[in-house]
Amino acid sequence: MKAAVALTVMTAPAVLAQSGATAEDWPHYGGTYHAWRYSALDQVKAANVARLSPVWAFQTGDYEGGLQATPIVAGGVMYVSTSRNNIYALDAATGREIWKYSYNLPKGFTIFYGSWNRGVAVGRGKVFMGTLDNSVVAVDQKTGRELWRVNVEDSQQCGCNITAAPLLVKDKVVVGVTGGDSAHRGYITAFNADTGRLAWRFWTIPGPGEPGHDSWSGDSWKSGGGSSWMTGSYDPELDLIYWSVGNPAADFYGGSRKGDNLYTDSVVALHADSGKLAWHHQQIPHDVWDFDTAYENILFDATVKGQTRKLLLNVNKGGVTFVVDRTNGRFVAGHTIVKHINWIAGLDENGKLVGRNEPPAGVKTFICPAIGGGRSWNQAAYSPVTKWYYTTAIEWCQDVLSAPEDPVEGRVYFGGSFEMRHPKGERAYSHLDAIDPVSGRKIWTYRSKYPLLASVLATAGNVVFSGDPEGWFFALDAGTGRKLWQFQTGSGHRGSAITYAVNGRQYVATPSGFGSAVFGLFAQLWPEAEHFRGGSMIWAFALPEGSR
Amino acid sequence: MRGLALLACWALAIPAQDGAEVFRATCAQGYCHGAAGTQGRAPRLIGRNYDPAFVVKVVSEGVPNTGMPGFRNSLDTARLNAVIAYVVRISGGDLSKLPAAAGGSAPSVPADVKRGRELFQDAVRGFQRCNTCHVMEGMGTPVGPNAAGSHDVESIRNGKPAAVRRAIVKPGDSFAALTVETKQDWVKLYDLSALPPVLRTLRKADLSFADGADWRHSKVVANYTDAELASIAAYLRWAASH
Repeated sequence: MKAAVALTVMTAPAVLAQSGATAEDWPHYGGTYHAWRYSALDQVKAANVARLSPVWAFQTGDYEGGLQATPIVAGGVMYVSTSRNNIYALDAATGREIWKYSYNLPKGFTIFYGSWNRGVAVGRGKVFMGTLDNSVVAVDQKTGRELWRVNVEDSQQCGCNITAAPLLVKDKVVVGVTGGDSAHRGYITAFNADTGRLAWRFWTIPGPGEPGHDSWSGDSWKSGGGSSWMTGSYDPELDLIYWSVGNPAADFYGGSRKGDNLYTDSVVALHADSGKLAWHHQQIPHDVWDFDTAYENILFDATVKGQTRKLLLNVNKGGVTFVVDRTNGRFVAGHTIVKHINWIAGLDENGKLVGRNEPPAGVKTFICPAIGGGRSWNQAAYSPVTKWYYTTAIEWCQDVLSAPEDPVEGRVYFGGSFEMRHPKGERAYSHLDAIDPVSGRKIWTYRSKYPLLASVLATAGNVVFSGDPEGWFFALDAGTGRKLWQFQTGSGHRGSAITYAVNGRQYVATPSGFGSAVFGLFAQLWPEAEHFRGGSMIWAFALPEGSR
Repeated sequence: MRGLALLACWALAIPAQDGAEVFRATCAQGYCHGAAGTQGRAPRLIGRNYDPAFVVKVVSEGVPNTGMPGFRNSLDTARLNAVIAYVVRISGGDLSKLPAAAGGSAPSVPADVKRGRELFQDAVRGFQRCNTCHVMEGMGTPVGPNAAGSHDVESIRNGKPAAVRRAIVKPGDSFAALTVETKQDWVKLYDLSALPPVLRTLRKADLSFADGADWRHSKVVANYTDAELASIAAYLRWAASH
């Protein structure tokens, strides 16, 4: 009986058509390099998910900032990082601790953007993690013993660090950097996975003499932000790494950085071996809203006007989804995922922004969505069976006050401030939707009182999983959005649930533990949120033995 | 004492509106304390009834290991006291017990020293800058020794710590290395084969050392001109006496 799940996985035909599904393991941050957050496992399915029961739980004890990680599972072992850069290796079937690694953070330093970590990369016998003080560390996968570490840039000087999971591609470990709201010039850096030696560096803001440099006025390129704060994707066939580059700084004031500000708010495609730019697609030229093209890049193929296309889907913080051709970056389709949106009127047929609503300096301007995002960084899921993507969205607004500001290297450089506001005519709320990626047609919607800040997981069992700020971990029917099951985990969800199998039994595991910068904004709209409990725990669920 | 008391009165005399303006441009920025202290990622300040002395300490010095920086060096005394008074007021604390704080920026330095400092930590150069390997004023990675001292262009170009050796790692990887720590079974060392140096932990059984490391300080500072190194030398001489 226990082997049944593995057999099912190997024969699911819809899944074999594309390589973006996970099976027994959850090998990468986004599931696979394609970042679908979709599993071919179907032992747990819509018909039986109501019987899902907890089988183990693990307390990390490191709860500041919550638990934002995506656990990685390889060969029956789960690797999970915590907010202050501990890594645990756990028996994925029992939760037993195999080893723990603690990164020694320097004493007494200021942690920019707060304590959190969103996961590790595993491969080549090693586990890789970025750190709060902007280093990359590699530890032995079997023992947790440190093998190498390298500092990317002094975090106190740059006002930046690493909170995203690294991306391991062939013999290189690639990391982004925060710092998009600091006076800093962003980059993406690759190190040799075995030795830690520098492999390449891509500056997200071109330097003098490079194409795109003239999209920055004066010296603004030196402090123009352009962080790379989430994890990229990789297409092995095209040998391209796709990474999102965040907002320009100062966030709300653009008068001192005239121009399009390349490659901020762009998806960049980089040759994996050299880090050289293959193409870029800028979603928001000269961003003055902090609307960050920062999130995951979902790589999928679809038929558009009768032709099968290699596509890339990216949801940005402004609540707009862009679909581009991932071979060349050309715009294919776009749509908004939120109802309350007024920073643009829309997109034209070429994906250019229409009707920009820029906050003038010194005048309070009502802007939707709010800085926390029409969606936060928690990732969407894509199902090759339904061919829909599943994303959370948030309906909330803000009053922005844009103000000129002088940059000081490494210091916060927002160029203004904001106050959270409810949308006009109704209270702020959130939803999780199934959307056709090319047409933008919304299939179903699931409504939530508080902003949904956990990633979405989709499975071949026709189930979609996510969690909410009140601690509920829930399962929806992937076809209809109907709630099938929920479980109270004790603290809100800010991480990413995964699914995997050990010895033929399918497990669904989720981090539980609320925190983060965006959560910090809740109390301005929902005073009771100040009392939401924190935590840092992994819950693992499965169907009861004998009931499958 | 009398000076302090006068200063306190003077600080209180600053209109609350100025404190609000400093707060808006500093504490309310981004994801921090929220507009008027309503809460962001950083704690709510309204209604906390803070002890004024506590506010002075936290605003001046920051809170280590968190996102709260100290503002003692980045706000002048008037603005620092204005924002402290504002925070005490919105928290509902007792303004009559407010001690004065001393702000102000770092002491001014000669132009060539300032230029040398900028070059030492010049972010535009990426990893090809001095503080990739040397810590000065709390910033950088402590690979090499404290660089402050009686330097000139020549001594910077040709600096060579005696401890750099050639490490040989099976099978056949050889590189310039600086040993940091040796234990019974393993050695922690900086791999200097490229910038930035990598702190590697290698099993003793896999490692041997030889003389003749292929490493020169002149190579890692090659992208600085003599004029730039002269400014850096001025900075290092200044740092030695401050």
